[in-house]
Amino acid sequence: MALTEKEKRQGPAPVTFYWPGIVLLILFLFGSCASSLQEAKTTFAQAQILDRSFKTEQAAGLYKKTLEEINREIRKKPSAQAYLLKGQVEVKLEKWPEAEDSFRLAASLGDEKAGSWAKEVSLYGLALSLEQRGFGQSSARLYDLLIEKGEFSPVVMASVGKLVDYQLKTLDEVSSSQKDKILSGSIKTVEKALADDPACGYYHYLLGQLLGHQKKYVESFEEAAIARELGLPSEKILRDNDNQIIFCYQQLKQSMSQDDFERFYKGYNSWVKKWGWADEITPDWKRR
Amino acid sequence: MEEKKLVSFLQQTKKILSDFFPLNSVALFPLMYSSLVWALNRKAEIKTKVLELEVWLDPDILKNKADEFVLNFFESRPGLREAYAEELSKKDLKGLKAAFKFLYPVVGLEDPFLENLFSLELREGNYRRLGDDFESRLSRALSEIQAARARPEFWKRLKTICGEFLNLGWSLMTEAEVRKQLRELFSSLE
Repeated sequence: MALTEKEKRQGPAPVTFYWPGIVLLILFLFGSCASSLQEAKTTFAQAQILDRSFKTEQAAGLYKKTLEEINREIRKKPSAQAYLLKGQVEVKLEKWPEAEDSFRLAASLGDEKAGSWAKEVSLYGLALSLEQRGFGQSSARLYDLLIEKGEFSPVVMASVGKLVDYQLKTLDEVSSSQKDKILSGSIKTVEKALADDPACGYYHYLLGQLLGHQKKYVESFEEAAIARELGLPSEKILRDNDNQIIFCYQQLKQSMSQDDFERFYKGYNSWVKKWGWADEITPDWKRR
Repeated sequence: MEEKKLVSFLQQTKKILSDFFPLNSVALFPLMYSSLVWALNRKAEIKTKVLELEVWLDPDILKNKADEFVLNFFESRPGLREAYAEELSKKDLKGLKAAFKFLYPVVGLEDPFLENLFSLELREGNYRRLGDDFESRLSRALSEIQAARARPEFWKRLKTICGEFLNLGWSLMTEAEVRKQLRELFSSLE
């Protein structure tokens, strides 16, 4: 655009003339960057609340929304904090290789704990692939190592589940005395994890399953009921846990004396009512 | 729910979604059925649920169950008890556990997608064929869905369909009742 004679005489406008605009622009840019990370953190926190309060399906939706928000933030302004959050969300969504990359990037941008988290996620990924390729024992050793030394709780939790399932798989091939030994070992592993995180519904679920293997149906039912109350990581685990509850009820009905069963039934029935089941063996999700 | 109205809705839905799937698709009806059930539950975004299909189908539940649990699974369901009478009478746990691996997600956990994918076998009580076909049919269905969801219009249409389904008015019915009605009508569509 051509300048007028007056403008040519005056020369370029002094910087101070643009100050208000520049300040507004900086504030806008800063504000939008900060709010994007903040938004992602808020959504992540909401998802965690839903996760804990047993609304796992909605939580999964919010985790995905967080991931979209954090990816937007990273495109604008990559930072250690943003990659750390991205990794945490990816762990929640079981995107292990992606989480490992995010933690590595967070570590390279200066976050100290992200480095060890990346290593744990990487080891977990390796254990999973070994298991898929049929190297069960090697994968079990890695899961065991992660349980012993791991600091990143989602990886520790997933490793406990994987190790226990692997140990249960071997039960069919061993004698009954070895069976008891393996089951006791698995129970110890889960109890140790529970001592560190007593409010973790998933550990109570695992314990309920293991006690079922030992035919301790009252205890198995109690653990499964606690798991249901504390919340479980996914609907499929919730349904499996409900099936365990029903199985225990049916086994106890057959094996208990009438007096004992009546006492048990009183408590069982109050849970069934609380959970809104149609009857003793029909949870809300079950086809009738 | 007025049956005529629902049938015409389902026929329209089939017409719209069949653009995204090959002829003789194995995934079209399971996807329709499970999306409508998920929409009814309003548990999550339909897109999230469809994207989760692969995760859901590899459950992180403890897969290795106690012998008594497996026996109870077969004995407490009349259809399974009849189909696996021989294994049950011989207490053939190896055979029962092999079948349990496929049957538990469909019959025990009642996943709506799998329920529809094997609706014919479930209706006929042909549980053995369900086991034989499980892996091949499932992987075919998942690859069809993967191809369909790559097309941008897919999500938009699926979302619209689920929204219209909810507008048909289901508030007075339970999920089990809706699933029953849908199952009956889906069999007439096939």
